[in-house]
This record gives sequence, C-alpha cells and structure tokens, in this order.
Amino acid sequence: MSDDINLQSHLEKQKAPPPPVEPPEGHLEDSGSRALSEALRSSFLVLKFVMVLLILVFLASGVFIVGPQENAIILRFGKPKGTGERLVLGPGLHWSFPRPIDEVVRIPTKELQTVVSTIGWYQTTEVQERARTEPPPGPSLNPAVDGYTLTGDGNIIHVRGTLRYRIKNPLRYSLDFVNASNLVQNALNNALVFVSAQYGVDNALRLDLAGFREKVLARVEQAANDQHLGITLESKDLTLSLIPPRQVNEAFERVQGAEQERRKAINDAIGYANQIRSRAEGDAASIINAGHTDRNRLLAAIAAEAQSFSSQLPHYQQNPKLFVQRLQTETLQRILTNSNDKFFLHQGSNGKTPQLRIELNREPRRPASTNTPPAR
Amino acid sequence: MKRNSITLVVGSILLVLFLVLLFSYQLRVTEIAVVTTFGKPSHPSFDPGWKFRWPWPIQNVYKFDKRIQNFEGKFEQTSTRDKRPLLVLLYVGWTISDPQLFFTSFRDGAVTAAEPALESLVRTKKHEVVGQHPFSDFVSTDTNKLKFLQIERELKDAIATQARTSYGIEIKFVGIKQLALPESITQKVFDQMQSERQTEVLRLQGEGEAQAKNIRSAADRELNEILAKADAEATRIRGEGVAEATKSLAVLQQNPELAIFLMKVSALEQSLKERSTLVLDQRTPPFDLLQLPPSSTGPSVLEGGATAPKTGANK
Repeated sequence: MSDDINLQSHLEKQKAPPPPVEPPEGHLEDSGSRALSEALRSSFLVLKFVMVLLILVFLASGVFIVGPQENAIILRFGKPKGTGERLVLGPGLHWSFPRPIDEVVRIPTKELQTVVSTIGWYQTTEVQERARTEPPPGPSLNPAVDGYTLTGDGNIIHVRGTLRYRIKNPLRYSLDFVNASNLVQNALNNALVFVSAQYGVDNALRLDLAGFREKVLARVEQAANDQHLGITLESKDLTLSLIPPRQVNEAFERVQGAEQERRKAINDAIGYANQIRSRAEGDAASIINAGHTDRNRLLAAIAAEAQSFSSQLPHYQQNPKLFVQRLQTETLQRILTNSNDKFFLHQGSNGKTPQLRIELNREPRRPASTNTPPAR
Repeated sequence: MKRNSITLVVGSILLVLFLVLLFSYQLRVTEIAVVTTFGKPSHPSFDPGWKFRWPWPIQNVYKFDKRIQNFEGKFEQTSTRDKRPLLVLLYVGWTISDPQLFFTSFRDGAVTAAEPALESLVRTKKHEVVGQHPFSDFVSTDTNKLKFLQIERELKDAIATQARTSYGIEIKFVGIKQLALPESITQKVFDQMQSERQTEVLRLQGEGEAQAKNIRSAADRELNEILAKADAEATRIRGEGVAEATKSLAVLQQNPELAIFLMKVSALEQSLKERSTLVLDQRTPPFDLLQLPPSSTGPSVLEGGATAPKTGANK
C-alpha cells in the first residue's frame, strides 16, 4: 500500500517540526507531550535562574567585616594572600572568595593586649568584689576552687596580676601557635608561682613589693623569649596585688599595729632624750654661771676689802690707838642706830653684875620687860 | 540544540570541577601533609597552597597541625622526696615532630586524640620527678636551695624523651602553672602563720620597749654627767676665785692686826644690821659718856635730849 507508506512518512515529517507548531490534527497525545515539553522548558528556565542565584549567593557570602580591634588575613587555598602591606586587612568591610577557595583568619593587632592571671586568688567574681559580697573565707583553702601561691618560707598568700603587652609579629603569633595568648597567660601564672616560691611572706607583702614585681616581669619576659611568643612588655604594664589569706588577715594587721607602736615608743623616747639634753645644757650653763658669779662677787668683795685696808693702813699707822677708838665708836653708833632695842646695864657699886630678864619676841611689838634692880 | 549546549556546558564545568577536586588538595599554612603512594609514605611537605595528588587508591593525603599545641595536666597530688604532699599543675607546649609516628599512634592524626596519652605520660613523669626532690627544692627563700627552674627542665626532659620516641611528639616547653597543698594542710599552715605573727607582735613590742628604755636611760645618764661636769667646773671656778682672792689678801699681811680689827668691825656691823636687841655694859664706849666723866676724860656731854633711853643712873 504505497498510500499507507506515504501517509506514514508524511505523519512522521509532521512530528519533526517544533512542538509550539500545533499539528493541524490536534491529537490527544500531541497536546500531552506538548504540555510536558512546555513544562520541561519552563522548569529548565527556573533551574537556570536558580543556578545563577545560587552562584550569586555563593559569591556574596564572601563578604566579611573586620572589627575595630582586630586585623585579618586571607588564606587562598591555605596560603596567605598578598605580601607586606596588602597581606594584613584592617577594620572595615571586605570581600573574599568563600570557602573552599579563601579562608579569613582574624589576627590580633599591634595594640596593647591584656591578660589576667588565673591562679593565686580565692574564688570570687569581679561583681562580687565590687559589691564586697565575696564568699566568706572558710577555715581552709580548697585547691580546686581557691587559688593561692606558696611562699619561700612555707606560708600562703593570694596574688593576682594583670599584664599588658604588644605583639611584635601578629602573623606569626596567630599562625605558629594554637593559642598564643593562653601561653602569655600561663607565663604570667608561672611567674607568680616562681617568684612567690623565692620570697618570704613579709618581703612579699610589705617589705620588697618592688623587687617582687620586677622578678615577675623578668620571668614573664624570659618565658616569652624562650617560647618565641614575640611580645614586648614594659615595666609599667604589670599590676600586682598581694594579700595574706583572709583567714589570717587579722594576725597580719596586728603585726602592722605592733610595728607602729614600736616606732612610736622609740620616737617618744627620742623626744624625751632631746628634751633632757637641751635642759641639761641650760642647767649646766646656769650652774657654771653661778660659779662665775660667786667667784666674781668674792673677788670684788676681797678687792674692796683689800682696797679699804690699803687706804686705811696709813691712818692706822699714824696713830693706831686713835684709829681703833674712832672706828669702834663709829661702828657702835651705826649699830645702835640700826638695832631695835638697847638695854644698858649699870654695874652696881658692889661690883655685881645686875640681872636682867627680857622676854624676847620675834614680833615687832616691844617686849614686856621687867627690870629688877639688884637688892641692896 | 541550544538547550543541549547549555546543559553540556554546565555538565562539563561540573565534571572539570570534580576532577580538579579529585586530583588536588589544599595545604593550610598551619599544616603539614604526608602523602602516601600505595601506602608508602613520602617526605612531609610544608609549603602551603594548592597541590597536586593522585586520587585514592593511588595516593592518600594526611594533614597534621604543625602549630604549637597547648596542653594542661590535671591538678593532682604528688609526694615530694621527703614525703610531703604537693599539688602540681603543669602546662605543656608541644608539636607534631614525626607525623608518621604520630599518625600510627593516634586515630586520624588528630591533635585531640593525643591528649589522653599525653595526660598519662605527664602524670607519670610528674610523680617521678617530684618524688626525686625534697619540698625545699620547690619553695625556699634561699635562692641557692631553690630548684624550681631545674625541676621544670627535668620535667621537660623526662616527658620529651618518651613523647618523641613513643608518639612522635616534640615537647617545646613545660612550666609549673600552679602549686598547692591539700586542703587539710592549708588549715595547719594558717595556724602556723597566726602563731608566727603573734610571735612577731611580741618581738616588736619587746624591741620597742627595750630600745625606748635604753634611749631614755642614756639620756638621763648624759644629763647627770653634764650636770656633774658643770658642778665640778663651778667648784673649780670658785676655787680659782678663792685662790685669786687669797693673793689679793696678801696685802693684808702688811699689818695683820689692822686687818683682823677691820674684819671684826665689818662682821659686827653686818650681823647687827636689823632687828637686833642689844644688852650693853654702860662702860662700853661711847656709852661710857653717859657716866659722869672723871676729870681725866673729856668734857661732860651729859645733856637733855639724849636719844638713847636710859634707866635711872644710880650712884
């Protein structure tokens, strides 16, 4: 049947053209397959759209922000990207390829870092300490929660330190160590333990705080150098507090009180000694002065006497009896003028000395006197 | 046809990506890699970046962290050589020095897998080394006796040897992070600290009193010395005066009787200056004038108005 064959080939030819061109017959199978292919085409569109979207999202996820206190580097396929200036990214918005192509690694800056010791202090929090509500001290210290260090003389103290440092090479600091700042912290801890172990409790707490601090700093520096941490420290960047355990705090305060008392006792004694010394000098001076005065007075008196003698000697030598009588009389006159009471006794004719009874009295009143004349 | 070409492009891109992933690996700057070819390991490679490899089963790539790891032991009690209990906490810095040995010792060559082995190694060596030292090697005010740093070195050496040979680990440093005593002993330490403080208080008080007393008595002694010296000096000066006076009195030697007479007169006058009551003999001149004068004496001076009160003169 050539017609049949022709018809078949004709139909086949008609199937070949693109689906949107609807065959004039409009068979059910054709519309079905047409719908299917339409659906496929639109889903391919959607698929393409989604793929493009995914790629865009993928690329957008490479955006990252570097904070103000940090820097960052990009590892491309694991290798640091860029060299020198371009290697380290400062704070701000940046973009890199996302993982698995690029990796962002945050590194610290060269600004001051801070680390606080974690051993050596009893259990408390900063909030508690500020509010002075720290847990009360028990009779002992539990090493699992309370920290302390041992001193060289077998005592116990609490010690705490804050250290600030700078990183010389932040890249090596981040890439050579899993956790370099932890190592700095442990260097500080180790230094506190080490220096406490050499110090007596009095030296550590009171007498040689400066030396303690210096040794801690030296030890931290040494450890940092040995471990190649690449940090720099300055003396002023270490702050320490040291206290005796709270359980024995009173006893330590009593010692301070006793020291003050001792100082006061000695100072009082020195004050007394100074006072005495100046008084002594004054007294000594007046004693010597009195001596001088007496001497001078004596010399003056004697000189006067000698003078009066020398001047009277010629008169005496001229007429001794007259001189003597004259002087005697003059003297008597003066005496009698000056004296209060004078009594004259007349010697009786019988040659007996009369009796005289006088009541003598210190008062200026005239004494009552009786005068019994001698019996004849 | 257009549709097929897009699919083809996408498909070929994906294929290329897949092959790339299959034939390469990344080495992070913090890692080292050991590549085994048919199980035989090669030298470790250190250069970071994108590197070529044959896929499994031809080659396998193992990566190891080459950074310095931090490890801390447990804070446990050990005994010193003189049987004193001491809690020691160590911190260790280590790296993988022999990746192959490390890999055979620990699963996946992961750093965390090594920690239990490290812990038991550190504990064992800690007991050993601490047990070789007396307590005074750990804490002492005498820097010659203190062996703190030496102990740290010994710990490092002891741990390092076995870590290297058994696990391929290199110990970079070992430090003592914390020392402590068992809780019951801290209480005893407190008691001791308190009694030491009390002794110190008494010592200070005693010292203060003793020194104060010394200072005071020294001052008193000085005072007495100074005054005694002054007295001696004053006496000497007076003596000087007397000696000089005596010289002046030499002039009196010219006529001792006159001198004596003058002294008597002066003494008499001085002693009868005031408030004296005199009882005199009428014959005492000048009162002998009160008597009726014998002719030999001078003219009579008996007149009214004589100032001296007189008793009746009887004859």
